[in-house]
Amino acid sequence: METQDLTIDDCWNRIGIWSRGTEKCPSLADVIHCRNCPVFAETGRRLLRTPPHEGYRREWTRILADEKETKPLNLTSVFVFRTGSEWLGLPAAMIREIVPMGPIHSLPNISSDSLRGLVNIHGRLHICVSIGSVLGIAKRTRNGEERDPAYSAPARLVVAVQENRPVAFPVTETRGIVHFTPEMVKELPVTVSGTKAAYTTGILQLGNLDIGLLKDKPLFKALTKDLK
Amino acid sequence: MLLLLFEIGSDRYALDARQIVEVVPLVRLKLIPNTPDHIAGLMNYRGAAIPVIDLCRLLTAVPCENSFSTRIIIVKHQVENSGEVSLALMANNVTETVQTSLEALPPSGTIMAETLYGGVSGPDASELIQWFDVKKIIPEKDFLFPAGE
Repeated sequence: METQDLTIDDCWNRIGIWSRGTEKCPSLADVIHCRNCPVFAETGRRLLRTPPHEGYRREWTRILADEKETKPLNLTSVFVFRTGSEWLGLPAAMIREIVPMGPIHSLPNISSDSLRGLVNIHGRLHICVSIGSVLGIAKRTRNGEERDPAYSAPARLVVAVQENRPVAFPVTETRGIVHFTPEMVKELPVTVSGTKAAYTTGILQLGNLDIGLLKDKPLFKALTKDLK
Repeated sequence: MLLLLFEIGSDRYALDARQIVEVVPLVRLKLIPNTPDHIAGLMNYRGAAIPVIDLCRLLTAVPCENSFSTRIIIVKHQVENSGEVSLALMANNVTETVQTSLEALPPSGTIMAETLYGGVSGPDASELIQWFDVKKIIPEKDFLFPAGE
């Protein structure tokens, strides 16, 4: 190790992006950042060419002799969102995109609680449904006075695809994608019955949130049943 | 298709990432007496002893460098009559992977496939990278070794 030429000209500190001085490397005009510069990359390669010390080899010999530490592999990912006061999760694979809320054009002559109307997303019309009404969450009242204030202004539209049929639905809040293992899912309390039980597989506890994991197929069947 | 790039001597080779189990740093090896020079020794890989083949020694008669970037590539290899075996291949500068548009392996020629990839990204884009075919390059008797003699 001593014999190796380890003198490094840290030009990135001297005249590069991390320099505090006023003199700057002329290459910066081309490469913008030192990490794009061949000199920087070459120095990194040179460091990799140096011999590892004995402790490094010893440590890795020990690590590789042991069983590989594996993380739980059967992770499921769900997209978590809030509608009304309920946090819900849908399989992440079926979520296509999340867009800002736009106007919903109602369809005349259709009396359905779940069907809200049509929305324009990237120039295409999508059917807009209400997940809350199917699940019986925070029922909207006609006069609007008893509405849950949070529910009155859904911030986003989620576009989900089930069997090649895209459906949009408004949500109050989105949390993003959450990964979990089957052990993290709690059974539904036996006292829960009716529509909620029919569409929920279990409860995922995440910090102080209880997320209802939705059965995608029955739910979408219910959401689109009036569309035939 | 994802390829792992490494160096043997001064040339770069590419290995299909699908047959790779893991790339690990150099570890201490147990020397095996009376074996060809290119068998660098035995390593304890997750509790099993597998032979490590020094590719530089095998192809250029110069041993691999003792450096951080000299790494051991654990591959799965199908051998007739003895199923799948794990091989440990040691090579220089195992530092890069590259995504190619190739879907399948190009047809290989004689002993060493003359398959050359016209370079990848970076300053030396004209570099030719040779396809590394485990079956053609590693002597057959080395496959049989892990099964126990």
